[in-house]
Amino acid sequence: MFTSILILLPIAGAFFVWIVPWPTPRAAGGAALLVALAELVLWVNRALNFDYASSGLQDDASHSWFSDLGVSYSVGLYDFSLWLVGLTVVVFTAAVAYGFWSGRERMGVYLGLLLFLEGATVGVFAAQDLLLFYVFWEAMMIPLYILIGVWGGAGRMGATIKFVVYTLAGSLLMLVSVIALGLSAGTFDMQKIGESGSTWIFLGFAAAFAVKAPLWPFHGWLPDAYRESPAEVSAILSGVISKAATYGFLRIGLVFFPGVVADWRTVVLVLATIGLVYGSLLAFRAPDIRGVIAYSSLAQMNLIIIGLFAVNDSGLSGAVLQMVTHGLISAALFLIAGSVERRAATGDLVRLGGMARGRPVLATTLITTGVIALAVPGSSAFAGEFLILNGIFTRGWGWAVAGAAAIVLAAMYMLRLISAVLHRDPGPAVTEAALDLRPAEISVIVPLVTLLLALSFWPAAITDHSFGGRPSDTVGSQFEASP
Amino acid sequence: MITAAWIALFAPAAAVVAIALAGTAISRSVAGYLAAGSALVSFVSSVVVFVVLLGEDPEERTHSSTLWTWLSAGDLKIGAEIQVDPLSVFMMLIVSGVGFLILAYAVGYMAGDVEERRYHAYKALFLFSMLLLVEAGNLVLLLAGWGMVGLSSYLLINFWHHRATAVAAGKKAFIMNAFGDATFALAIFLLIQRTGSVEFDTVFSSDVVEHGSTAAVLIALGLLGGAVAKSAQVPLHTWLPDAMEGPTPVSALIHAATMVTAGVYLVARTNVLFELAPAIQDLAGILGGVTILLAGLIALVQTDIKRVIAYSTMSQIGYMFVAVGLGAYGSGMFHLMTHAFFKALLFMAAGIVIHALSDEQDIRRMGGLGRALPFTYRVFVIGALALAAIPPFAGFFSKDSILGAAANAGTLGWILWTAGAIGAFLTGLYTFRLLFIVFWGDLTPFAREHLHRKRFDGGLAMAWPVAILAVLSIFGGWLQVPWGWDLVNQWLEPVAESAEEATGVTFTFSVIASLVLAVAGIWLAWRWYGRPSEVPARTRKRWPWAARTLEHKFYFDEAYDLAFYEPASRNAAFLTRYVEQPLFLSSLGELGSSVRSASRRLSALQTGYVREYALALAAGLAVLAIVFILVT
Repeated sequence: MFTSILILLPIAGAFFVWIVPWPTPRAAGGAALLVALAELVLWVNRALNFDYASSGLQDDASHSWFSDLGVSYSVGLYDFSLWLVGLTVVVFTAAVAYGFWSGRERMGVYLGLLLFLEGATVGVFAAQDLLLFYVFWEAMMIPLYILIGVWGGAGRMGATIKFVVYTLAGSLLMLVSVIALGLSAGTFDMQKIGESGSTWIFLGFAAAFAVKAPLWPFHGWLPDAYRESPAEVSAILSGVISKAATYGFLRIGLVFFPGVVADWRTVVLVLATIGLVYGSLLAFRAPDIRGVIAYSSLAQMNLIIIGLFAVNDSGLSGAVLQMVTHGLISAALFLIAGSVERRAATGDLVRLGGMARGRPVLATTLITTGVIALAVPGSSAFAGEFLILNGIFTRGWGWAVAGAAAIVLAAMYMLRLISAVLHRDPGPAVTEAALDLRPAEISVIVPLVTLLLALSFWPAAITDHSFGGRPSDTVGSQFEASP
Repeated sequence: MITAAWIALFAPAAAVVAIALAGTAISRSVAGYLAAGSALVSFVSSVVVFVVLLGEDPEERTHSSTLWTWLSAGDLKIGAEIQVDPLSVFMMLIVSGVGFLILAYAVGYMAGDVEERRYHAYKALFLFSMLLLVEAGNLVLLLAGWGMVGLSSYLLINFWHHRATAVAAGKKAFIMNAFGDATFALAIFLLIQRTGSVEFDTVFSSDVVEHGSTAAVLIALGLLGGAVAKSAQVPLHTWLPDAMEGPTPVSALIHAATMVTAGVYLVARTNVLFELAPAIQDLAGILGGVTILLAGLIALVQTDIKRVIAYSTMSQIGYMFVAVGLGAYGSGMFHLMTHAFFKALLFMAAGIVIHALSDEQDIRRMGGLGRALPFTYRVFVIGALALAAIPPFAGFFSKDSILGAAANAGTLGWILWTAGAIGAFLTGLYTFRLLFIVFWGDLTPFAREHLHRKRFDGGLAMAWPVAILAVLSIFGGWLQVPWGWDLVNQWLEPVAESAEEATGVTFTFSVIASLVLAVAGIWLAWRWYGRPSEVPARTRKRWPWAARTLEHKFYFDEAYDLAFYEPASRNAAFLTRYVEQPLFLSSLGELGSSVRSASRRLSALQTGYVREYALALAAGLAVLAIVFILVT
C-alpha cells in the first residue's frame, strides 16, 4: 500500500496541479512544491521504519491485471531500491523548488510534468512486474521529451530529437525483450521469473539501459540534452533518470541473466572503462560548465556500471552508494550551473571567472560539491569509488588501474571547472550585478550539499543498509561470494 | 585516555563548523582565536594521551577505538577508528603543538586580509585532516586523512585566488597528490585481496605476503608512490616550490612542518610491509638520497626567500627518507620532529621579513636587514644553525643520527651516507647564502624605502610563537644524544624497531666528517655572500649551462608538461574534434535536422512525437517480437 501511495501521490498531484484553475502561476507552483514536500516526508518516515535486516521485498502489493498472461500490478521495495527512491524524492523536491523559484513559463504545466515524472520514476524503482516496469519506463520518457522540447534552450529541437531517437530505439528493444522473457517464463512477475540464459533477451534490455545510463558509445544524446534542458531538468536527467538504467542493469540484468552477464562481462567492462576515461578526457576539454558536468556524468555512470559488473560484495555496495552520491552531486552541480548561467547569461568558461570574491555561498557550495565529485579521499564519492574499484580489482587489476587513472583525470577536470568559475580575475561575463546565491537558491542547493557531507561522514548508512548487508548472496546465489 | 584522542581529533573540526556557520557574526580575529584555540585543545589532549601512555608498559601502549562503521561491503567493515600508540602520539604532539604555534602566529600575520575567516577555517580543516591521518586506525581512514590534507593544502595554496600563479600551483599540488592517492589506493586493494581487511593489526603481519614476492613489491611500491608524492620527493617533487604561493604560515605548517613529512610517517607506520619488499625500501632510501642532492643544488640559485626554504625542506625530507629506507625509523622520525621546529621557525621568520618589506619575497632586493630587524635576525640565525646541523642545535643530533645509521647499513648505506654528507655541505652553503644576503651588508635602497617595523619586528602576536620555536630549535635535539641516550628510538620501538646505528670509530668519523662539511659550506657561503665577492657571478659565467640547469630545476617541469599534460590535453582535444563531434554529435545532428524538416508540416510538436512514436512502436514490435521469440 505504501509503495503505491509513493507512486501515485506525485502523479495525482500532477493532475491536481494541471486541472485546478489556479489564480496565479505562483499558486500552481506552490501547490506542486507542497506535493513534492509531502512525498519527501512520506519517504523519510518510511526510511526510518524500514526493516534493513531483511533483504526481501517490503511494502509489496499485487493485483492481477491480465491473469491469463501472468501480468499483474505488482510493486514493492527492496532496501537498495528504497535508497534510489530516496534519491528520487530528494532530487525532485529540489528540482521542483528550483523551478518554482526560477519562475518558468506556464509554471503549473511545467511543475506538473515534473511531478508526473517523479511518480513514474518511483514506479520504475518499485515495479515488480516486467510489463509494469516497462510502462513506468515509458511514462518516464514522455514527460522528458516535452520538458526538453518545450522548456529547453536555443538548441532544444535538435537535442530533443536526438534524445527521442536514442531512447526510443532502446525502449523498443527492451519491450521486445520484456515480452519475450515474460512469455518464455510464463509470468511477468519479477519475483517468479527466475534465470534466463538467453543472450538476445539480455541484449534487448541492455540496449535500453546502455542508452539511458549511458554506457559508452551510446551517449550521443547526452551532451546536447544536458546542455539544452532547463537546469533542474538536467539535474533530474543526470541525477536520477540515469540511475534508472543502472538500477535496470542490477535488478534485471544481473538477477535474471547471471550466465549471460558472466559471458559478456569483458565486453561491458571494456566499453565502460573506455567510457570512464573518454568521458573524463572530454570533460577536461569541454568549453562550458554544463559540458564538464555532462561528460563527468558520463564517466561516473560508466564507473557505476563497472561496479555492477564486478558482481561481488564490494562492487555492488559501491555501485549503490555511488548511484546515490552521484545523483546528489550531479543535481547540485547542475543547479549551481543554472544559477551561475542565470547571473552571467553564459556558461562559457572563458567568459567566467573570479566569482568567489564577494560570493561566499556560491564559492563554498561549488567547491564543496566539486571536491566531493572528484572523490577526494574521505568523501562519500571516494567511498563509492573505492568500493567499486576494490570490487573490480578482484576481477583483474588492470580495470582498477584504469579506474584509478580516471580518478586523477577527475581531479583535473573538476579543479579546472572550479577555478574557471570562481578564481582569477572576473571574466567578461561576470559583473558586480551578479550577486551571491539568494536565499531561495540556498534553500535548494545547501540541503543537497549537506546531505553529501552527511553521507561522507557515514557512507555505511547506505552500504550497511542495502541488500540486507549481503550483496552478492542477495543478488543471486549463483554469484560466487567476493574473494 | 582514548576520549582525549577523540577530542584532539574533533576539536579542529568543531572549529571549522563554528567558523563556517558563524560567518560574519564573529570578528576576523575571533575566527583566528577559535582555530588556534582548537589547536591548543588538541595539543593538551595529545599531552594527556602521551602522559597516560608513558605510564604504561611499552608493549601495552597500543589502544584503538571505533565509534561507528564508516563503510562496509559484505564482510569488509571499515570503522571510524583511531589508534593511539607511541608513533601516533609522537606525531600528534608535533602536529598539534607546532600547529598551535603557527595558527597563533597566523592571527597576527593574516590580520587585515580580506578573507581571513575562510583562511582560519581552512587552517583548522587542515589540522583536523592531519590529525585524522596520524590517528587513523586503519588504512582507509589513513587514506582519507591523506586525501584531506591534500585538499586543505590545495585550498590554502590558492587562498589568494585572484593570482593566476596561485591557482595553477594549487591545481598542480592537488593533481600530483591525486596520483599518489591512486597508487596508495591500489596498494590497499591488493592488501584487501590478500587479507580481506584494512585493519592495522591484520595487514601489518609478516605473513600477509611472501617476503620479496611480486605482491609484496607492488604493495610497497603503491605505498611509496603515495609517500613520495605527499613528501615531494623526486620524481614527484615539482609541486612543492610552487606551493609557496600560499600565505607564509601555510608554508610553515603544511609545506614544512607537518603535511609534507607525512610520507615519512607512512613508511614508518607500514614498516612491516616495506620490510617484506627490501628492494622497494631501498628505493625509498635512494629517492631520498637523490632528493637531498637535487634539492640542495637547486636551492643554491633560488632568489625567492620562501623557495630557498622550500627546496631545503625537500632536501631535509630526503634525509628522513634515507633513514626510513634504511630501517632507521627512530632517526627518521626524530629528524621529522627537529625539522618541524627549525623549519617552521625559518618560515615564520621569513614571514616577518616579508611583512616588514611590504610583501617582497625576492632576496635580491633584500640586504642589511640584520640591524633593522634584530629579533628576526637572531631567531633566523638559530634556525639556520639548527638546519645546518651545528651542535648543540637540534638539527645536529637528528641528522647525525641518520648518518650514523647509514654508516652501519652496508654498501647502499655508505652511498647514501655520501649523499647525506654532501647534502650537509650544500645545506650549510645555501642556508647561510640566504642568511648573509638577507641580513648582512648594508640596507638596500628597496629595503630602506619599504621597511616598516613594529615591536619585535612584526608585533608581539607573531613574535612569541617564533620565540618558542627558537627555544625548541636549540634544545629539541637533546632527546637523542650520541654516546648518551636514544629516547626517540626507545619510545618508537614497540611500533617500529629501528636499525642499529654505527658505533665507535665509524660513528665518530661520520659525525666529524659531516660537521666539517657543514662548516665548510658555511665558510664558503661567507666567502661568496658574506662580503662583496665576484666569485658567484664569475662562476655563473664560466659554467652557464650549469646555472641554467639549476635555474630550470633540472627541467622536471618542462619534461612533465611534455610527457603528461600535453598528451592528456592533446588527446582530449583530438577526441573532442575527431571522435565525439563526427561520430556522436554531428551525424545525429544531421539526422535530427532531416527529421525536423520532415516534421515541419506537422502542426503541433507534441502530437508529432506521439504519432511518430506510435508508428514506430507498432512497426518495431511486429518485426522484432517475432524475430526474438523465434530466436530464443
